[in-house]
Amino acid sequence: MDYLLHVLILIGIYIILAVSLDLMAGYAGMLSLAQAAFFGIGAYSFALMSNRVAGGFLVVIGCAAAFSGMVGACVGYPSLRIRTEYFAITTLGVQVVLSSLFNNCVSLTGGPMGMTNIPAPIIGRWVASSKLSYLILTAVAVGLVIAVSRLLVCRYTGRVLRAIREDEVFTESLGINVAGYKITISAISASMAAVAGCIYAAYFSFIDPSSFSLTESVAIVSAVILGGAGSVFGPALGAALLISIPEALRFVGLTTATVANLRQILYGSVLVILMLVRPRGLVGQFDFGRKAR
Amino acid sequence: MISQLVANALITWSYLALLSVGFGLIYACGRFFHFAHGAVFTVGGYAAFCLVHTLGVPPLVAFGAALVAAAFVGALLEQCVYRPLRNRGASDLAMLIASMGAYIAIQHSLALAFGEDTKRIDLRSSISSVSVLGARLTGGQAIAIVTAAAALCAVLAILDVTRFGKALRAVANDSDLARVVGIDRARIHLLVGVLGSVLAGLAGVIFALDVKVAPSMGMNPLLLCVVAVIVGGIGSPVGTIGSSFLICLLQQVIVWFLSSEWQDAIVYAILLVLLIVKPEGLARRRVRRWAV
Repeated sequence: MDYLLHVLILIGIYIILAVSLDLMAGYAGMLSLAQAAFFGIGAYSFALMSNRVAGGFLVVIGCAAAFSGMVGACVGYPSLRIRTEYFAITTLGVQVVLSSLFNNCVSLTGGPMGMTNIPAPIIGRWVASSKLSYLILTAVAVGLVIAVSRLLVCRYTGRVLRAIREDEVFTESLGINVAGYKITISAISASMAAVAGCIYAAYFSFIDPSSFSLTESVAIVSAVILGGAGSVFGPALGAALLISIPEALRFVGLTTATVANLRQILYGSVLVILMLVRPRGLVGQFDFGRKAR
Repeated sequence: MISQLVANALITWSYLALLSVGFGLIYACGRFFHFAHGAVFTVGGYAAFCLVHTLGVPPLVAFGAALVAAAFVGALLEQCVYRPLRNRGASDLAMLIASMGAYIAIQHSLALAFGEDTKRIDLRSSISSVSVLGARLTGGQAIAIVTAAAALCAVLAILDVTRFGKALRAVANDSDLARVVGIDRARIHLLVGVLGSVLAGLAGVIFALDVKVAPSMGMNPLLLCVVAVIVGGIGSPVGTIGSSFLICLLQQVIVWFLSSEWQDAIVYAILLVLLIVKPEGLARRRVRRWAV
């Protein structure tokens, strides 16, 4: 039972990551390979602040999300000049630089050894202690993230973002502040990823740079593409599938190392196969495979 | 000290330049980032390791076979992934995503097959070390540098002299026009893939001999070669050769004055600044793909 709860919590964390990336990649057409870095910024901010900042879990999460959002806005800024695959390369650079900071600022982040003894979240009198309470916490966060995303994409904002994705110059000619939208959406996306990072750090009470590496960023991209970019529920579905399938493999009697490799092979093959066979994913609206105008 | 610095830079240059030139040629022809190039590099290293250590093949034969293995993987990727994508009119971003996926899948397949641990190719050779202008190199490193330089010269000659080289440059310049004058683009893409992969395989063998064999060995050189190709100016092999040397030299300077763990961060930070400030690369060549 505990194991099932554990898997559900993981799925929840990855749903937040996939949905947050999809706001940028699926709606605004800005594919980012740095989502795991923002996940990491959230996790490290939480680990660093939770012992030092008074006010409990919500304040810390707020600060982490705000900080990550600021970094996200800086990353969104180059997207005004740099498009599609070059934006992907730029975010790849951001991912490499931030990974390196996580690994090498040993006095702050503990370096490759990571940080341990991250305290459990306290909200008022309530302390998350059991797996079930973490699941509730994660579920609330997932609900909030999905609600915010739905609100964003169902209305005017969503139409503007899709217009930017389809034809940026035309959108600008309608008098829409394309730069503002692009920067804002990357800030929102980065703060959502940071919320996932806070929950991750609190739940495991241990973090190390390998959880926030380029490989993880690619895994998040896989989830978005498998589920289908340009919809809110698609990436959520993709994340759920990509976490649960490798977990199921454990019951076949494979070792942890084998499962870890099979997991990555699955993520990689998903990208290749979907691009070849069904670039819009399972339930997606946006086809990454289509040539941009 | 300076000569040793340059010598150390040349050692890393020997594999980085080979990898980057292949990556750059494939980019120039297909206009997509071939991330799986890093996996081809790793395959080259593992093939050399397996042939030498598991099967006991004489080293030189093994290295030749490793190049063939790398070429095979490169051709397979082109035929099974990139060509269908291109025929479907896929965007450059789709090619990048598929290529990233192929890289991850191949790297972890190798990890599954051979284990995660780092391996070394031990030739037990007794080539004495050489000393040039006060810089010390092992014999193997000297041979690697000379081999890499020779291979690069051969590639430049192929590009300049042969019919295939002309066709390649035509496709890189204007793919549609090349088709109009009767160049078989699919064939050129395949041949470029094979040529690039042979270079990557050679780079992998050199890396395997000088550094290590590990499933993740391709990632770092791959990241650096992306920088080298963008900095050197896309579609300019000579620029790429020069920029990869600059990157290696910069890395050695960082190691000398700071510490080795900051190498990647600094190189990539420079790339970010460059992408934002001077997107056409250092070699003044227009990149038509660049928007705005």
